[in-house]
Amino acid sequence: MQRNAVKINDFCFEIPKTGNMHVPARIYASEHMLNDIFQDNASEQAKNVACLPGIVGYSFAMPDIHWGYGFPIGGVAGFNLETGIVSPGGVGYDINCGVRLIKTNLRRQDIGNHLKPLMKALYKRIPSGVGSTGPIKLNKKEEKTLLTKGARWAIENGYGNESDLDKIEENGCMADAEPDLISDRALERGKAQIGTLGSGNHFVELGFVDEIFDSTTAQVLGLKKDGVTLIVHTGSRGFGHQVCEDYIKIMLKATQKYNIDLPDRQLCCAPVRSPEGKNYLSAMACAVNFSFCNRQIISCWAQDVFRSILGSSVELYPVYEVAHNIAKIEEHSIEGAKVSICVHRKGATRAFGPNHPAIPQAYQQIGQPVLIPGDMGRYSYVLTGTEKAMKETFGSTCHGAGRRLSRKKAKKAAQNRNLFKELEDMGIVLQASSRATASEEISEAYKDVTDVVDAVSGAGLSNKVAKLIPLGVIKG
Amino acid sequence: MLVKYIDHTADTGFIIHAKSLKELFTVAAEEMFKIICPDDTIKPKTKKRLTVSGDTKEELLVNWLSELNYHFETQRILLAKVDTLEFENRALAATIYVDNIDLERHSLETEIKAVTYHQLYLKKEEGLWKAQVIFDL
Repeated sequence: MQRNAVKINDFCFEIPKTGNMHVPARIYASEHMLNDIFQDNASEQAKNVACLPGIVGYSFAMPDIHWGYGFPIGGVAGFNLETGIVSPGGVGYDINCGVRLIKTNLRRQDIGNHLKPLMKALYKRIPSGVGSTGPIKLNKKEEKTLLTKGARWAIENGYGNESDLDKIEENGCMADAEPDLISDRALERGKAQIGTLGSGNHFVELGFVDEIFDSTTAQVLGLKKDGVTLIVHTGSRGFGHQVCEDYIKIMLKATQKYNIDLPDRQLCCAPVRSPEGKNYLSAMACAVNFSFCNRQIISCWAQDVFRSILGSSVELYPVYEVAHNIAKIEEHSIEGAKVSICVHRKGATRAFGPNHPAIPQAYQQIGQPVLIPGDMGRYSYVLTGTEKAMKETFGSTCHGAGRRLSRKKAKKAAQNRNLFKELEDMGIVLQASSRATASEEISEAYKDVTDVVDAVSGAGLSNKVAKLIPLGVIKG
Repeated sequence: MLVKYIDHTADTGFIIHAKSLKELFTVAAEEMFKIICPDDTIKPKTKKRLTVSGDTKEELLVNWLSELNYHFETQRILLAKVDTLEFENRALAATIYVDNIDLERHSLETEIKAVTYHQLYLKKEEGLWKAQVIFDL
């Protein structure tokens, strides 16, 4: 057994309560993944989260857990609304970084020789790269309207259809967003960044359905073998980064004010019901909405590009869009009682089971769809949420493959290699703003997402529906 | 003076040892821009004055780097060098030289989302100022 982790079952390991931990930490993973997991500071971070006041049940870590700052990436924690806290470090700087899975009425063979022109055109249309800005320039008043409306702002301005909203977590708009709590700096950073991909691990990926594990569920989602898909992964850009930065400063003071003892300052926080806590949640909701709107606009531009290359009959429909970095007040069953708690998911995905009122009518029988992107050279998975996830992890699952190599090590491994050619030989067209980003994002920098998905599936937190294979990737 | 990069799994950071606080803040700023644009292509073209405050020295360091990152993103400028840097109470005043981003000349490699407080320290030890900063990328 690794370190001091106790095996609960084949896919769940517990770090017992020690020191200032209020609850144990639970890591969902297969046994062979634990070596990698314990190699960096991530498990210590999961223990740190367990020290926060009012934590309910366990400090959870999903199998894609890795070292973040404050919370681990892949961390999930719920806090009692009366005794617990809310922490910007439990959400992260890229508030509502998330993914949208889009299906098309195309089959793999329809792409054929159009692949390179399509990827080139997508790359040209969707602004990407370090500090990228887009063609939409917002004045302060309009930006504030966008912050309260989320994806609906995009629809009202001609980017997409009303029916798209139903297929987005929170219907693309988080209530309680309060733009008056947003600094001029955040508005300044956001005003030219709506409709931009950014850089780092953000991407747009064209792919196809390679394998279906659950044909009934796949049919409900409209996923067919060889059907062409698109994944959009980005977040709230500089706007969200600034909101987090502003509120970390407020929370550093709040931590002292409320006498909260912290193992790491990045976990700075305030009671959920305090003015600081409430204000953070309302400011965070603005960034969540910025991000929903961002992905809606990018998806709309993607449809324009598809039609310009492959004809006007091409249709793109969102399957579902999920947030990876978010804090929400949710109702969960705890020890037989329905209780509202503040759930933090940092590098983790909501995965509500069947019949939950928060998921679209069309998906009531199958549970909430979850997309788990892998690395750019391998595959991604479509999953659905389960009743077991509702009982064990506040309806949460993993969010991606999870890094295993640092960026420095990845760059070293990519040295003297033609990554573009390597991917092309595998049938994947890569468009990247910089070679450096492409190097940092090589396949071997990530865990095999199959291991991650098998662990959440084995643990019963999600059901496997389909596997997608990339055909083309845009990296910022 | 010593600069050592931290091999963080998802992000990056550095440890700096310097003879003075002024040297440490200068090196931290210049190293941060090497993360953003590592090629030696940033020219000192325009002079700019900045003032930053912070309740503690550590907070001042985070705020100083965050201020520069904010100017990078909103004004599209890269730091070429820190010319003067003076501390006064809980604030600093600096004169910096910057270059406008020109994608023909500058290869922008990494976007720094934020300067974090995770494992942050700034202390004087054995006659040296020592700091650790981790960035969210």
